[in-house]
Amino acid sequence: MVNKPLTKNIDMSRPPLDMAAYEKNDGYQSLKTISGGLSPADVLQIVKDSGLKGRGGAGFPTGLKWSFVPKSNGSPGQRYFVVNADEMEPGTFKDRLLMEGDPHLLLEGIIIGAYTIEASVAYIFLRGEYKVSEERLKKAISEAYEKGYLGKDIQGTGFDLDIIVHTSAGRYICGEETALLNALEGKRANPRAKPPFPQVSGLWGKPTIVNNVETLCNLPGIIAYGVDWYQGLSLGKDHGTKLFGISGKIKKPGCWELPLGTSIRELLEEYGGGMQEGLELRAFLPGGGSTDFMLPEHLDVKLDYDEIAKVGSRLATGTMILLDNKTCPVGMIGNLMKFFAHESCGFCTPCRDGLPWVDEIFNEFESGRGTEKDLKILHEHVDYLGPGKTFCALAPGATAPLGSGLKYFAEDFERHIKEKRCPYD
Amino acid sequence: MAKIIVDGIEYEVNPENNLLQESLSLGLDLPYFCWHPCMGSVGACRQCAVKQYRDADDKDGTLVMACMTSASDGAIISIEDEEARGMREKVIESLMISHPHDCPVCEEGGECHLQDMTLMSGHNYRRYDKKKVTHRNQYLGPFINHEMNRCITCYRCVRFYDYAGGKDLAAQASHHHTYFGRHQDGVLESEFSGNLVEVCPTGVFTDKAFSAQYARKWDLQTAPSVCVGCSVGCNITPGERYGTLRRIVNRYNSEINGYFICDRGRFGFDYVNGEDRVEAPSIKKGLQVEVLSGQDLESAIKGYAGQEVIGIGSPRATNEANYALCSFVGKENFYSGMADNESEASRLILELSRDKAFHSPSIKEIERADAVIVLGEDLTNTAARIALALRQSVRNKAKELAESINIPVWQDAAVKELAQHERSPLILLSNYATRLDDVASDSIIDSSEVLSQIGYAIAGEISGSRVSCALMKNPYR
Repeated sequence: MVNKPLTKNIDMSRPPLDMAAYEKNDGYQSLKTISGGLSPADVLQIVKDSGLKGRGGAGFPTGLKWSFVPKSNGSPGQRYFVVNADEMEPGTFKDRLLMEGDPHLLLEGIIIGAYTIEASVAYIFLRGEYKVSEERLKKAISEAYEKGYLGKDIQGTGFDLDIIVHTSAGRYICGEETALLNALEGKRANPRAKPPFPQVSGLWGKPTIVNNVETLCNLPGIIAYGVDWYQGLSLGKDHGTKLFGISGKIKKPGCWELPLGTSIRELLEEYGGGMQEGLELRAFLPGGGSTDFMLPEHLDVKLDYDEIAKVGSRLATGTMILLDNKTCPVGMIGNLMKFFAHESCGFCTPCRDGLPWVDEIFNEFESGRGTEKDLKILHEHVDYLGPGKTFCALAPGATAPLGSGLKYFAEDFERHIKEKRCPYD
Repeated sequence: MAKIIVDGIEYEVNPENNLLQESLSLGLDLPYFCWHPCMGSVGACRQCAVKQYRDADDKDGTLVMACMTSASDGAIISIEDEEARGMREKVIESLMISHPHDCPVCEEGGECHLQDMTLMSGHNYRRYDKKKVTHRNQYLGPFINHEMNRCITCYRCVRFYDYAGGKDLAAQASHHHTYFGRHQDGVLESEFSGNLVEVCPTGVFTDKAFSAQYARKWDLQTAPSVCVGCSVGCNITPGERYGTLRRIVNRYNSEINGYFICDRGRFGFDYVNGEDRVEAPSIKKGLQVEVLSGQDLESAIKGYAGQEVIGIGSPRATNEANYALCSFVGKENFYSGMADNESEASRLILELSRDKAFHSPSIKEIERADAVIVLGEDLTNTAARIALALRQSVRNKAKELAESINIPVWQDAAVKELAQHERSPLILLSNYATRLDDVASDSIIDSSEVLSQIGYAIAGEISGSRVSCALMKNPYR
């Protein structure tokens, strides 16, 4: 039985499988299952039962998200399905692997999702720099049209679907689903107020689902092989497999598909090969730049949404950034703050004007001019930029490494002040 | 009505509004920037943070933005809560980090909303000691000054500009470099651009004409007045200093102009200060103009006794002046300054309106109309404030859609995102393209004859009887 449903077709040393090869390997099997008599409501139930959680970062149950789309009662009107392929989270490169490595898998997932919510148009909102993904997705889409998996009356189900690839002009905030919708409409990429949620008023004011690439790549397997198979894949409470990545000073940085519930130690040591010679692990961000630091003492924590939440961080995108003992943690956090300050859309005050202040303070610290007053202001900003205070989740994301960093590396901040220089220089 | 509790005191409120609007209506001090009574809420500035409690047992509460929260029955909030106050202090501190210290020479002085809110929020000491963000300003035409360094990024200017149908002012760039301006230097195209001066909570957009003959606001002599620019009668406040009219600002009247007036009303007063303005009775002798004193005037008038004298009045002069002239020359020798047919049409309109033969809607009513037909009038040029009201009337469809899925109408951005290009009917019948065409569901451009026939047909349809085209001859033929 398949145990790596996301990457079973991926071999980056060759081009991705074309239609014929993909189909030969159980590809588009799910569409046959659907045309064999699964209604949108049936598919929704299967996805709910599978326990699939969104892989974009928030970990929201996919089936539940879909169920908020208003009941169609036979006349759905225009609805849209949008793929969030604007992979911009610092340290995150998992969706790229999927799109470059097996574009048909994503298309199959989109077709399942769009069928379920009765959307006749799907957009792939793709990070502008992902040129190879764009090229490979477009080729796969044209093959799918030729084969009748896209277009009118797909597989005799009466269901129509067009997929359009939209390449982003590029801002981190476009990964926020409502800012993404504004960008897709050609507007300024500011997030929208929620409620109303996109499921009710989304793209062009119509009911819309926005899902992450990796989330959708889980669907073909779930439909083709069933819920029991899917739930059997993982080692813990969360279901299925997930892509995990590592960047930082490790022997073999990379991206692997592993069962949810694998331990962090196994990922780092068996797959990443351990830290580079002469370096020790100081801390790590478990799921990209917007997650709280974890420490070596947390290495036996399972890669599972709840387990990581228990130690005060988030699994989020599942792509780790490592901090070693010879890299300045203040510098590392400062680098992230610079990124977040620059990527603020400029809409709400705390994020727009708070993050640049934080960034300025980190500049002072790195050049040996940081003061106790600055440190106090940093602490205040952890609260000021936190959840519920800003318009969207960008600034609260930035406070994750900031707040946990101030806690775990307090001594390093103090040394910067006392020694009037960066002690790691 | 609904009941809410604010800091332990129960109040009656309108549940269709948000908590900010209701708090302000109750006279409670809650600072804000991005919310505007005419433009609703977007939740950008985060200045109106309050604590909301689930129920009487909830002691922790959650921080919410009052402008983004419905004043629903049973809501329990605290403005005085320590965390909410702390949040508001932090927000104003952030907003002020790059604001310049040019208050002594800023034209906004005396009516700076930012200054009021800063004081109200308790920010009185600057901790920010890093580099400020600075911007370059643009030339925006003869009326509006641009001083972007003062900007606190509340987004009100671009939201008003959109409200008024303007296309050439937008938010540009992002993060703390967000910039409000045109794509390049140039005269603002909107005929309502002057309202930016009042909509901006600080001195980014100021009245350039006023700056040229500036007087401190509290040194101006002002009086409530009515604009003479057209027949709408927007309420205004003119300000005078040392015998010259310095500026005109909007004076709120809920039934007429509300918060906004047009640029003609605001800026079109310079003739008042004109050097060649006739300020006293004069007599022209050859090329010479002699100013007459009161006595001279009387003797000059007596000199004409028994002669054939005619008086030419003007619809633009006051009733008193026209009446005086008419009494002097006699009714048979007086001409009102209007052509007979125009005069007849005006008289008929007056009569019909006096007899209440038709309902003349207020601007507020126009804004609430389900559908509007404009027959043969270019309102932007003849009664601009009504044109602005029509731009709002077409949004009623959007509000209707929003209500159908429980989005409150004050959720401005959400209503627009939902409705997109759905608009209530606005049908324009005109001799030429007008500036309202962009929001019209139908624009019919034709000759006056054809337009009046359409008008009669509509009137017939409404009254249920055929209305003869011969009822009134076209006075312009």
